[in-house]
Amino acid sequence: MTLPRAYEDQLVERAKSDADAFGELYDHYFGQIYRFVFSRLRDQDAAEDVTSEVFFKALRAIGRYKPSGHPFSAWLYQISVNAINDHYRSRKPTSSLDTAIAVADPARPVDDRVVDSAEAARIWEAIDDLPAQQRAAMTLKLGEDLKLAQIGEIMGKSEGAVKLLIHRGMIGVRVRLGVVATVEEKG
Amino acid sequence: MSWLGGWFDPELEELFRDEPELLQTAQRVRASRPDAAEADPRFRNRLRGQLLAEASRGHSRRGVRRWWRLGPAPIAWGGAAVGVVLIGATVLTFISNHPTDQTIVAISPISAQHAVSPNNVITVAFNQPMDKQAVESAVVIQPATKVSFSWNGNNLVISPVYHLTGNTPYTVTIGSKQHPIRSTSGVSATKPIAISFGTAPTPAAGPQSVTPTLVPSAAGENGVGGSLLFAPDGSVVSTAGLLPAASALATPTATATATPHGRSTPSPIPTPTPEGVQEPSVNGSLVAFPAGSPPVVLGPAATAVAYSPNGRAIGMAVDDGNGGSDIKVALTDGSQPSTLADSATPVTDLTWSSNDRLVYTDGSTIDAVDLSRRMSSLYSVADGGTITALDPGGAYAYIAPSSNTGGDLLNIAAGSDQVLQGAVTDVAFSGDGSTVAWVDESGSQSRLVVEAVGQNAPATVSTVDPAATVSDVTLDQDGGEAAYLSAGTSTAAQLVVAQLPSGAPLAIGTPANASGLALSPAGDQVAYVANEQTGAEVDRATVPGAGSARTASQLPAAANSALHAFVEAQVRDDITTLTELSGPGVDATSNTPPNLSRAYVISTYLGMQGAVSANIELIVDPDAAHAAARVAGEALTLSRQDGGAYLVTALDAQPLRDESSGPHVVEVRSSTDDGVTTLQVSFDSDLDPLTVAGAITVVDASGTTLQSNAVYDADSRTATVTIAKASAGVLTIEISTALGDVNGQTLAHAFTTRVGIGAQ
Repeated sequence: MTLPRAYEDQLVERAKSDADAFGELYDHYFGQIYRFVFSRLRDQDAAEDVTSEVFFKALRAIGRYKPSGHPFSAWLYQISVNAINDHYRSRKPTSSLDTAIAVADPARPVDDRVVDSAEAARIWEAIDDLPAQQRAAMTLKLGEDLKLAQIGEIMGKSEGAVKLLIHRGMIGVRVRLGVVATVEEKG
Repeated sequence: MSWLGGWFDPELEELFRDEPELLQTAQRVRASRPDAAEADPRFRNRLRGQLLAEASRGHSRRGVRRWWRLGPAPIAWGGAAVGVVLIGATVLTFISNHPTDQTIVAISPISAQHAVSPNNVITVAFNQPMDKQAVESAVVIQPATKVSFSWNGNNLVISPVYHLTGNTPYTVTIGSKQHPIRSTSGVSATKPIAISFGTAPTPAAGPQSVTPTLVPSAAGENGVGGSLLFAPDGSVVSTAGLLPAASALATPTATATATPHGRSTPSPIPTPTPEGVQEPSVNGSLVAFPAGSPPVVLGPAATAVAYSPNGRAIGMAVDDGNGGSDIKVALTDGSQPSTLADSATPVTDLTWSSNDRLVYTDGSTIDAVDLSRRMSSLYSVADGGTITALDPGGAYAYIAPSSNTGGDLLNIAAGSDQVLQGAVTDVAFSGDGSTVAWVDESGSQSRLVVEAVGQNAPATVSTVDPAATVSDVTLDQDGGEAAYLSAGTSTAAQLVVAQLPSGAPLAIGTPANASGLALSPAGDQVAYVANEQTGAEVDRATVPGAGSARTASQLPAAANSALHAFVEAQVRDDITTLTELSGPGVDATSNTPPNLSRAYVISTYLGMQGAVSANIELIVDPDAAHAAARVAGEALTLSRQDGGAYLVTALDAQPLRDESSGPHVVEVRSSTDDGVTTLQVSFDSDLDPLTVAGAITVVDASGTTLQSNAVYDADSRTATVTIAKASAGVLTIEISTALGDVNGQTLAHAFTTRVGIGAQ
């Protein structure tokens, strides 16, 4: 759920000097950011480390934050993407996707679970293997359902550049999934 | 437009308009994304604490920090654990008027949590030595709670004198203009510390200890895998009991009795004596253990036994010597046995559908035979699964799946089925066949679930230890009580008898390695096999308070179950269940306030034509955006439908409002015994005992004020009102604003509710 923009802007402004206000921002966005980070790392310890990193970075940088017309969450995602990339640079995730699937919400519609865990693992391993920019764009689009404009804001790129990253990422996934010929003929 | 699992992204549709294979890949990626994982709440709270602590120091004055990491074991905040290091929690305030940076920081581990154990203490950690007297005198708890204070360094431990009330929102405020708090160095707070949390919905009734009263002989043994049940005369019957050879040889006849262990006159003993249990010298038999008299062998060992509805006959399945079972009937004393049918396969369960017809199963088929030996085939499992339980009355059966989830509750006559929720084990039916209970093991913790048979509205039953594994579930006659075993990882298994569907425990015991539980039809006795090193004894224990507790609801079990399932669905915003339990014209979804945290069923009564009225309090816990708990009163009417199920046919929910200060009624129960009606009114606050009796009035249906006597029990926060000669029907209980709590606050508004009492 998104906070009303005017209220959020006011809250962010207050958070620069009022810890209570920062706490309210944290309360609102923690779940969203943690889920995003966990979906990328699929390891609880790593997700907790990176989520901590994201919010401490946000706390330390909030004084310099200027509303840009995008939700505050876009800024948090931006920090998250960078922190995740830093994490990937330092080490590859060690847990399997099976772990993540095992904690899947049983309330999720059955249709959403039609892809079995083996294929799911294969697909997201393919995404993990993409170049960092493509991986980030793909994850924000297909993992978080963000708009292209929001992704652009998060990644500091134009909407067109994001489209290109996703297009290339999609081809890259198909290559890694073994449907090279079809894809490369198109590409 | 393309869809997969209901997903449609116009931006990707546009991007890949000319490349359908890429769009298809996008859909595969989207469909296979990992489901959202929820963070460990301890991590969430402690990170919050760290962040706000840093914020209070001026946003990043510190450099590199070491991130907090959860240890392998949860941190205990028990009353004795005052030495626990407060390594992080929710920072509550950072207030100071001191010119230097000596800000007061307070942290509590339970702040913003919604399921704090009622047995918890409230711990507040300060970052510097505080003026203890000033802090203690500034503590205000709502609902009013008598507490004691202790300190461990800079950590204040607030211990409730009794306990916290279950299923209740709490606010703890420390500091005010009248009672400012300050550190020993002179830093004083400029605004109060406010801690908000909610307690877990554990049963309100405190557990009572079972003092087992053993069957006098203590000689029954289920060494060959038998089970227990209660006979109509109150005897405990073992389907494979063992007796010494001398007595067993004299049976089965109506008059033959066993003389266990060579005693001529067995006498009750409080605990089993190892010497009293002998190695079995004969094979097991169907044995009745009457209370206070010697055991009686009723027949050969049976794989399944059931008493006829009129209590005159016993039906049993016994080994036919050829790998199958004989279906036999006999009088209840075991005499006049007669074989009705021979099953080629072993019969695993058996019940009576009427006084002259038995229904039985071998796990794959369900058949019936009547006393004239006419047989009929009722059902065959066609696509895997095993029939593991028959509903008494033979209307329903449970078919366990071949793997994990998806077990079916089969309506035998209709051939229709309904999936029981979760990974189902330990399915048990009430004696009247109206209620089914099971253990769902699909989650990380097992949970006890109950619902009215045929009504797809499961309700989770609170168990005494949510982390323990529940097993061996059994129900009484009308589904008002359950007995189960609760096995923790490091503690001995507990035998629990609890009310349904609330889960309020009536009795708890810790017999050695108990198994094979059985509840008496009235729920006032529990039998079990105690597996001692010296042998397995059939034991019987009384259930303290079962009689009065059972009359508390006086509602049909199906109504009680539907009511709790409905309210539970309101709290968790379960639209499907709300719709299923709502009658025509009832829009529960729109009329339920959003974001509920919890609810009380305050009172119920059975009205005309069997309609049930209930008064509910719906509650939203306080949070960062709203410092006070919000409540909404709700009145429900449930009406019986064709087939016995109950639906909510009227709903009147008031808008949410801030909860008033002062005490609140959380439950009103009634019971009648020997002409004396007892009303028990439970509160969320510690009351001033002197205000209780004078504030409570009871009025009968004609408007006459009844003479009553009220006694307040501080431990349970309950006023017990006794009325000598109340007529059966509806009573109105009125509580005036003279009722006060220990903080001197009075009931904000006069409270009135109606309760039904029976004609006993």
